[in-house]
Amino acid sequence: MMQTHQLNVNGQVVSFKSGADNTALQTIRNHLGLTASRYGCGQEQCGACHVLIDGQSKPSCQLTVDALVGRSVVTLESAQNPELPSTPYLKALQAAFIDEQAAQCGYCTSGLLISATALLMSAQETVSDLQIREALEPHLCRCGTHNRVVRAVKKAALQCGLKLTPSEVSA
Amino acid sequence: MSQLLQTSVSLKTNPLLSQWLRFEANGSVTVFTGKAELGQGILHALKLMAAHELDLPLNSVHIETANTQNSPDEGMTSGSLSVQDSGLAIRQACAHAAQLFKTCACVSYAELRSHVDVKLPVDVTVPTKSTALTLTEGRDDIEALVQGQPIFLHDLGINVDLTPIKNLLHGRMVRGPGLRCTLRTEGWADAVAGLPKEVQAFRDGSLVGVVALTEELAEKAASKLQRLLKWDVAALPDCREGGVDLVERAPAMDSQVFHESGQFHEASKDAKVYEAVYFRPALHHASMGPSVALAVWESDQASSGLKVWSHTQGVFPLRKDLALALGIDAQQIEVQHVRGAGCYGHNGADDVAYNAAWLARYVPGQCVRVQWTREEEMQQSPLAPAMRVKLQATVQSVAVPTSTSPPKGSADLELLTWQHDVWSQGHSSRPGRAATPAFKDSWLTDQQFPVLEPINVAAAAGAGAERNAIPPYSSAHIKVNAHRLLGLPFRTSALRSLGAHANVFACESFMDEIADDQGLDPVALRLSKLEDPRARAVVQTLADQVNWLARRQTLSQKEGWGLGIAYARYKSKGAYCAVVAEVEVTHQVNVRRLWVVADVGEVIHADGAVSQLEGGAIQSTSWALKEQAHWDSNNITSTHWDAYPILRFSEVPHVQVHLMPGNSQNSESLNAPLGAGEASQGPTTAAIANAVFHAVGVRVRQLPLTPDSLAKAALA
Repeated sequence: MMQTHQLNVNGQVVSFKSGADNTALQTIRNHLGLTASRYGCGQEQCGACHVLIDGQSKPSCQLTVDALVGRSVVTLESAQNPELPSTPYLKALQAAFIDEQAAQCGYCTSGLLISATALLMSAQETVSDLQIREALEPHLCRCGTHNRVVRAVKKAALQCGLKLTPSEVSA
Repeated sequence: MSQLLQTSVSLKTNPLLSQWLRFEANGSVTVFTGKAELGQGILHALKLMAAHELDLPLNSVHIETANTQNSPDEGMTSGSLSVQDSGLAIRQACAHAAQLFKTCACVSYAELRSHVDVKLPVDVTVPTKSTALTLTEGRDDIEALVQGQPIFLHDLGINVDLTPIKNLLHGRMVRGPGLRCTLRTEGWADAVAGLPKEVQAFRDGSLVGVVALTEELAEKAASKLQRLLKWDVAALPDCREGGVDLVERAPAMDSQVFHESGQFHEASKDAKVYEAVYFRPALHHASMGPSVALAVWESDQASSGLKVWSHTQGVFPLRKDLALALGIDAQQIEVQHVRGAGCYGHNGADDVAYNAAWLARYVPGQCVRVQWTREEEMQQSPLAPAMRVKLQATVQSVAVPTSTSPPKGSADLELLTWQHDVWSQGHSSRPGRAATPAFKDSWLTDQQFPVLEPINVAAAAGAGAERNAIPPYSSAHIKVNAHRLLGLPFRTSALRSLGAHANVFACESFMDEIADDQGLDPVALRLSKLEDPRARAVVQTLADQVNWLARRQTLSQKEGWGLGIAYARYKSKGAYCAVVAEVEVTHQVNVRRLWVVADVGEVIHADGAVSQLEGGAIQSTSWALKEQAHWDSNNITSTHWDAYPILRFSEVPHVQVHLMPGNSQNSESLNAPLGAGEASQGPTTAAIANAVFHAVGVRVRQLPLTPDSLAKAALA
């Protein structure tokens, strides 16, 4: 049954009609036209659909749209909105991903950027290689860009005033 | 001195300048290519080549992606050939254009608009520049990717503000299990009667699909039909370890001598015979984005035009098979390439394009979008076939004159015979090659198109199961036998590097086994048996970079740690690549570091080549450690990421890539460019297996290198 929903997406209140049991991902992509969040598996197993929900990086492919009511939802398109607390982190990450050429096909990139944003936002002064890899663990990349992505996140962390914990693995 | 390159295959097929270049009024140049962006950054490499030759800044060159209406027909984007085929054709066309620019004393390429006749052939005698490319700009599409712009085919039509596509309908397919099944029609009418009125269901023979205004409605209707409809199916053979016993279960086999060279001599008494059998299970493409396509028919007339948007590897082969399957003329069809998620071979792109075109025919004038689910992607895309390789070699020590005792570890060994037998289903089920369509779903319609048996392409095209089966090492006699398994109920096709992955894994493991048994250093043995100086340079450079002997010695002291090397020249005529793997074996195999050295000839875009080699090495690590397809008697069951795990961030090794200089052969001139996309697949897996042996003394001949296979090999 179609219902009218009101959601806070990327700092703006939006109203739209969709079924209550529609997934958050389909709602965001098909009804709001925000296609940066990708469909990869529909099973919360690949990370392509991650969005920030109240500042936490979460998969959106199994969540029903109902569960988003009253929450703040942030997608990659939010970089347009300078007022959001996540935007400086996201923009630093985007620049670092370009610098490091940290994508091949780029289908997993949106999800990676969302989780990396959540990590940098919540980091206390320092961030380590291990923390970055743990934060990105829910995300699959089939092209093998992992190491470039980790380098880009480190670069963005420095840009955001964080320090890097010296690596435990000797090069 | 300028270079005169051999005419590329693509230029022979598409000889006109206007097929490659269009001069714009603002002085920029549009470049046409038949090759598709698969996520590998190829369009960027082609753009760099064009800009260099035309002496234009990068932003004055635009690349048009593949479309059947205005692109040169370059067949498939496959086999690491895009730079050789398309790149060299574009380079030649641009050299010709640059010469015309000079002869006509132009100040802008816009002036060539009136000078160049549409029928003017590309002058293949115009020399191209001989200087190495100095443009090093990064890919300009990364910005769109990090901004999440709607540049994937998956986004087309969804974002209503950004698309020219109106009246979009969402389609979903409903299928029975297996390669070919028969729908029981008795339940059809009732099942369809129970669907909401906003949904339309269609059937042709045993092929079933639905369309609806929203994706949610289409999904629900499809799953409802999936529950209600019943099918008659043929059982699949038992699955043991990704198909390890398929050789015994294949109803038929086509055995051929693929290669034989040298002279067979009787071995002397002191010769030693080696034999070993290796196995690589069936693999999935496992692309991150399930396949998608859009299609629209102009009208319900027999002569109606059909437009299809696809992330196919070949717009022309797809068009040919669409025409066959739909019973229309190819000229009625336009196929437009739009990028999809990373593509590593023949995935579901062509099949879903057929699905969209088939469904859209029932609703002319309306565009139908079909998005496969993850489960469909894993079940309906072709598999990379399971492969068994048996190697046999006769080895003899060479009497060394006592006065010139060789340095320790050097190889005084002769390979008398080397025999490589490979058993596998064919590695190609691609469209565009047969008299009947290659789409799996087209075999279910009332037209009863036959199930196509997977083939191996000819040796000149790089072969399939036999790719890299000829060893790179000198042996007095070499024989390769290829055994193509026939009649198995699996559709198998090309996955990145095709047969090279298993063949190199086998050959390079076998070399290590011989070296170990003979008490020789694996690097020294390889160097002594490689005749090609570029091959030796790659192996030697790698050994120097990792400080091979010292590092191996040091690691021998650390429990569970090991170092292994492997080498191959992709397709025996492509890029040279050697890999060293450092592993730590605990309860499982942990790959800690990889070093890759490659000679890709002239380097077009160094960062792109490095990225391809590193990405290939990481993907190959995933294949080596984790991957094998599963099925039960009904259907493929490795349909989700928990059933088909791939490498995650915490498991990815540190990777270092080094490119040999483009003039490695002769400092005076550049070597021909060779594709980098598939060169590291085989050597990486083999280097890991060799490192595991060095670490714990267990030779694992059956992939993947899971804790189970390790335990099994240790007990064998």
